[in-house]
Amino acid sequence: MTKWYAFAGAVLGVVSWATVAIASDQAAADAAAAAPAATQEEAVAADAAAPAADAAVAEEGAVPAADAAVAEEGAAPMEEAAVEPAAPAVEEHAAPAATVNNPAEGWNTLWHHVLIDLYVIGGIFALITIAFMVTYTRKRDDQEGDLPPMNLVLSLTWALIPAFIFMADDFYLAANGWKLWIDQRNVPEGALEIKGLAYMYEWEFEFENGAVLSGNESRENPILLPVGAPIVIRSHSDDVVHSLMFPDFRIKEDVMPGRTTFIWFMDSAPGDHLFTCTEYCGVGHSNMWGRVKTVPATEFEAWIAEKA
Amino acid sequence: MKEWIFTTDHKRIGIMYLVGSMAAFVVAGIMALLIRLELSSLGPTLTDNATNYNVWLYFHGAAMILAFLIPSLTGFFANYLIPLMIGAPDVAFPRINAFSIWLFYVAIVLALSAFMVPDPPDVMWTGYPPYSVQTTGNTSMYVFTVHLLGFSSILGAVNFLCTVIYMRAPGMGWNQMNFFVWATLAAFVIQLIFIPVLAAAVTLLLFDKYFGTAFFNPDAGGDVLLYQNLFWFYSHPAVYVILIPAVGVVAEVMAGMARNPIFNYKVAVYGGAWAIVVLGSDVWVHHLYTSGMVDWLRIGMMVTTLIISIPVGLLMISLVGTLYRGSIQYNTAMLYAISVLFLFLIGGLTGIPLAMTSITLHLAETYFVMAHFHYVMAVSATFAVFSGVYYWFPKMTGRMANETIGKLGFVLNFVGINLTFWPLFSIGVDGMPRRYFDYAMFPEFEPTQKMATMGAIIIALSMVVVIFNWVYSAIAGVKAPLNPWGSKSMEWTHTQSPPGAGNFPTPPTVSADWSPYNYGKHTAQTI
Repeated sequence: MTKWYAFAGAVLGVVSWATVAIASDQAAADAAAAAPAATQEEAVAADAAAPAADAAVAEEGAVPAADAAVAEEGAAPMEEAAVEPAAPAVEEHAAPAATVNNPAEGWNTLWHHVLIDLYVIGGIFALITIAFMVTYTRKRDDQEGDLPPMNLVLSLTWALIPAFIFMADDFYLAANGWKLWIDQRNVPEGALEIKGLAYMYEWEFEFENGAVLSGNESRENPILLPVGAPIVIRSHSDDVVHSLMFPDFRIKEDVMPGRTTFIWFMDSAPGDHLFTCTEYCGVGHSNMWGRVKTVPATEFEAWIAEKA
Repeated sequence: MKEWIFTTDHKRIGIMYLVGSMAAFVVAGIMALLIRLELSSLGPTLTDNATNYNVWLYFHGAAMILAFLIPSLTGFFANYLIPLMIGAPDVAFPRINAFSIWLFYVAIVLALSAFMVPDPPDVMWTGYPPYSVQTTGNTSMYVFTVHLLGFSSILGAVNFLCTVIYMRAPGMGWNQMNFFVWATLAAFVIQLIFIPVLAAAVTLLLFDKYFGTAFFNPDAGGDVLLYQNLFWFYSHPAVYVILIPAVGVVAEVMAGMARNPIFNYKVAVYGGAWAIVVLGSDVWVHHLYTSGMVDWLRIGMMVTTLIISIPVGLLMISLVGTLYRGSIQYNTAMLYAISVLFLFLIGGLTGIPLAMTSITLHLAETYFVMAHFHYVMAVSATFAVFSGVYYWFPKMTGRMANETIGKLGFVLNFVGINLTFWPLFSIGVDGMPRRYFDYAMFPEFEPTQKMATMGAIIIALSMVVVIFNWVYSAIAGVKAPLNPWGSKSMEWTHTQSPPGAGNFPTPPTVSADWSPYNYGKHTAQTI
């Protein structure tokens, strides 16, 4: 009888490992496919955002506040270029944007996969527990339980088979999570660059042509952004830790003094969206929000040129 | 009164831990109610001043975790039960034990006096700089409360490690100990290793705020992320300091009320509790997924965090398996214990998406996270505490807790917590951020917030019922028989209720086939 359990364990173990292997292979292939793009983007980042030279290696290396002046200089040529409008820039990259995966859509898909996963695991556990609860009630006052005795083989079987199943599921989720992560953390080439600044209790966004827009004012007059184009916001804070969240774009990242962090996103269809602060920053924490509106690129170009 | 204050008896110290931590629970619970009432409608509801709200949040979080959950699970249960379960007359260092309860009470008083100073701390229980350094709130009260509680916990940890290692009844092998003893041992090892890290972090915070240093100030060469890493280096393992003993309590109650051994005991101990101790130290960055850490570390910690599901899953299998072919009696203690299975399932499973960096980029700092950890800590761990108090109530007081009032309290409690926290998952996924005084940008969430507030009122009601039941039954309950549950564990079989001085009329010794779970045909060798 113990041999039967050992055999079942071996079979399930092999199946689990096969799942892991397939999932990891797929993730590795995706990572390899994304790798050249990532390298390019890092190179671009190194050229464009000169002070962030270390940042290209470590995504957001520390940019000491003392170097902020350098950062301004480094960004200056870019701003000049933007005067002869960013319009071609946006249109030029509208084509590659078609091949760029929208991380928000990826998030929604993965979220549904994860939910199915949770419902299956939760359902199995809950149904078994309920079955036991109903079946094994006390019939006589002096009745004791009748759990079959354990031995080494049984014990290890009951440890290793579940462990393999859980591990297979973990690696499946990790592989898919990593795949989405690659989309989320590699800014597509030629994304619209915005510099974000947070302080108690206001957001400021500086566009490539020098236009600076306030988060608080955007509640009345939303900040316009081009639809279909990747947009990257590289932000830092002047005082405490804040966090810039776009719930609809399924993205956030803390914004702090001494470092520059980024988020990137794109919208597939015109629409209205919120952004808000999600790291506790004091008495005005819940009052640090604004609106953006995604519009066709030409409308955005006209609008931003007017704000410059 | 004097014989309680100056006592070195572990049972009295344990009960003092229970009373102190329940006091903290009541005050922090009132804060929770105020928070929920404030959120019940758009705009200012109870107060116009968001600082008041932030102080409630601070106190609710800090007191619930540091002054209720950790002291009740590692203070009360460990103190009361470990010497009784291993057959020892007292702990190894009774006077150090007395000192640690004094520290605990001083810490509670210090924490409560936050309401009497003009500038109460408003730094949340995490105390992230630079805000905690720049705020006009009194961060030092937070720091000193953490110091005192940490010191108290370290003394407790040393004490109980020595007690379990050296004072087991003659003949008791390591695998003959109650699972709860193992679980608490694992929790104390975590406390001993990681509390100093938290103490260092908050001390540096103190220096930054009051003595002009710049450990966390980037303008002078410091780094804001340093604190967050140090803080979570302790505070994530602290989750397991709460979780493992909570599972231990639930396992004892389920084994007792189903009269079954714990399923796959050795795997639960070594592959469950101790594996969590080892793996749990390598996952802290999952609290920093959106904090601007380097990408490779976030991916690495995603894998380690997901792998934690293996030992946690093994513990769950052991709990569910304990019911298999059992003889289950549903009294109040068992209802609380068995509901933990479902509530922890919800809390644990919603932790899986939060382990995935890419999913958490959206979910971090939203109500989803809030609902998740309330299911794990506020609900599962707290239900474990209630379950344990009901189960060992006859042992502590010599009287039975009233079952009718107990079950009424349980039903209200169960309905209340689910009404409060379940809807918060959905608005969390839609983007409702935590720690918001107002939610003018999300007016569509108002009905959900109202529903959660109604749940909170039901919880408050159920708590009145539960605490009334304990006080009433301790004074006027029916006298308890010697072993009301028919348990085989040493605290029930070898001594009276409540145990007298020295715990056991005759010092117990155990044979090689004795086990606290030798129900039916089981002996230590078959478990």
